[in-house]
Amino acid sequence: MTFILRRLVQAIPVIILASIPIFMILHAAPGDPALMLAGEDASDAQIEAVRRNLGLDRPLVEQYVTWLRDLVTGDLGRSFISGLPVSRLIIQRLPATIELAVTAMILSVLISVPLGAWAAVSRGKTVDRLITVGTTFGIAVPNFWIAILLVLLFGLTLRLLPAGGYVSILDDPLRGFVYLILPAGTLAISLSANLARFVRASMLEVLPQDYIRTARSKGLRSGLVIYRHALRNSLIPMLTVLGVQFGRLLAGSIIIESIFTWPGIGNLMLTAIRSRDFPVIQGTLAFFMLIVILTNLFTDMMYGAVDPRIRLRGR
Amino acid sequence: MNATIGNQTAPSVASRNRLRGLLGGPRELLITGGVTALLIFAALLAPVISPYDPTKQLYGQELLTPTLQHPFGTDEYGRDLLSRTLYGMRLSVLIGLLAALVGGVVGLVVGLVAGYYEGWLDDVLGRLLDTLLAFPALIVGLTVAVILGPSAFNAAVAAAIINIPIVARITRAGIIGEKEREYSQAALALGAASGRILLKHLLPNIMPAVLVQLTLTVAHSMILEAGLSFLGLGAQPPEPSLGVMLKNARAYMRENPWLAIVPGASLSLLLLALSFFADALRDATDPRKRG
Repeated sequence: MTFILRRLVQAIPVIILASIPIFMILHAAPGDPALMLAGEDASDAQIEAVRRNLGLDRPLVEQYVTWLRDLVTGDLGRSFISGLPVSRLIIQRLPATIELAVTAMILSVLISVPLGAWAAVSRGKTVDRLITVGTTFGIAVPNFWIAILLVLLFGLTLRLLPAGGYVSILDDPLRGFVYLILPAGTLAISLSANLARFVRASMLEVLPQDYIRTARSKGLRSGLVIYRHALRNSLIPMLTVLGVQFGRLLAGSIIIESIFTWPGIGNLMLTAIRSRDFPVIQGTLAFFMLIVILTNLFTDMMYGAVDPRIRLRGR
Repeated sequence: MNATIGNQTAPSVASRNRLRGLLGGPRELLITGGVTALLIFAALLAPVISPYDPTKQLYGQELLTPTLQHPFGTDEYGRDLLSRTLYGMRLSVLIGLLAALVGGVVGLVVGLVAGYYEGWLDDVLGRLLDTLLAFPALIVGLTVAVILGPSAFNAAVAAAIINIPIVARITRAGIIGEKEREYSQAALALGAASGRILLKHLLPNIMPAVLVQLTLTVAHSMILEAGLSFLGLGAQPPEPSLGVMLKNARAYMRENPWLAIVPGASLSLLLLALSFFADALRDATDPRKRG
């Protein structure tokens, strides 16, 4: 319990530190937000009124504290363009992003665990080398180029899959899935390459252990030993990796959403950046920031729960 | 590429731990290093070896598929794709090297200070680095692009910022590890000043690990620039950037798929070369990490 509490307390300065650049966006970015909102033809008095309304005439520190307080209570302000609350815009776009990220995550685990385990048990053989080279490709080649190639091949040339667009998987599971294949598949390629490397390395640490030899010498079938003893134990550290990778996955989804015109939070953010809709930019960035910090926190706790030594060490 | 991959022959054992020993070292290192150097030189020499001016628009020659005059064809404005790709690679390389250099130097200093002095300074720096590290590169890149405005240079600034904690962390960990070793304790016991121990004894021993990280850092910086440019938030047209080229290609790839294939393949080639080189460098300098 104290471990969880300490982690929570430690997250506070991180949140404060990370929120400062997001807050500063409104002030550091070129252009006067009050002028933008009031419009080109507005009189000085009107601009001044807008500025007061936004609280931009107050001291910077006071503005920051107000902004952070609102942020914590879920009030992210209103869009300069549509006038809608930013929190509502984010909630509207959330399902699409979750659908994409979760599907990509599941796909990557399904691909990477068997692949990494296979490479580990055939260490040094051709299979292992092929998988290692393959994962290097998966990690090094940028996902937006992979996405373009997949669109070119499956969307434009073979016409097997839609080149973009979105149907909610809740409204129409089959069509929703068809639209998910390319974007989620693209995201899964680089993620599963990263994970497969990790599973391989982790398995290689477990395989020489005594309990594996004991299991083998008891006469258990090799497949059973690998599955029940080696793989299970090597997947514990994978929890942390999944946590860190989830943040990367979300960041990667920003570009992928833009390529596949996926109506998620990444696209919301990019549209906001192009139209200089500062509250939406800040809101979406804060959202990503919070998700990253929370997943890190969550994986820390999970890790502590799974492995008691972690809890003790940090005292 | 294949030639650089499959040869997992055992490297010579002698003096593997020191960078000096690398010249006569493992074959993979020479091959991957050679390919990487070749690509980087080709990119830097773009102004010399490009057949055309990358921004010159040839009217009536738009969207050509490969010909003898234009080995990769032309884009929607009739610009030579090969020349643009070479210039795009040049921009990638320049930004990658710049960001790795700046981020590397700052990260090295921060890591040295944090690792050597520990205490409250290390705590504060560590907290700062953790915060930066937690953020995916693209999120930092987008934030910087919004605050400073979209340009190739600002993409390099963002990449440098991202590189600082990565290099600092590896430096700090290395220093803490080396500090406890006998040679360092001996130097301390002999009365050597801490600055001298740091620079003369500790730094050379952690440099191999830092260099491996820097190689990867160049690649990561290139990806960030290309990604931001692809989103329209990095290099601005008509500057030939591989990201911008890929962005523009999407509207015309039905007519000329080469527009989408060539810039992406060139970028991937650079990234793969750097990645295999980093792997070889790590294997050669740290036998423990060999998988």
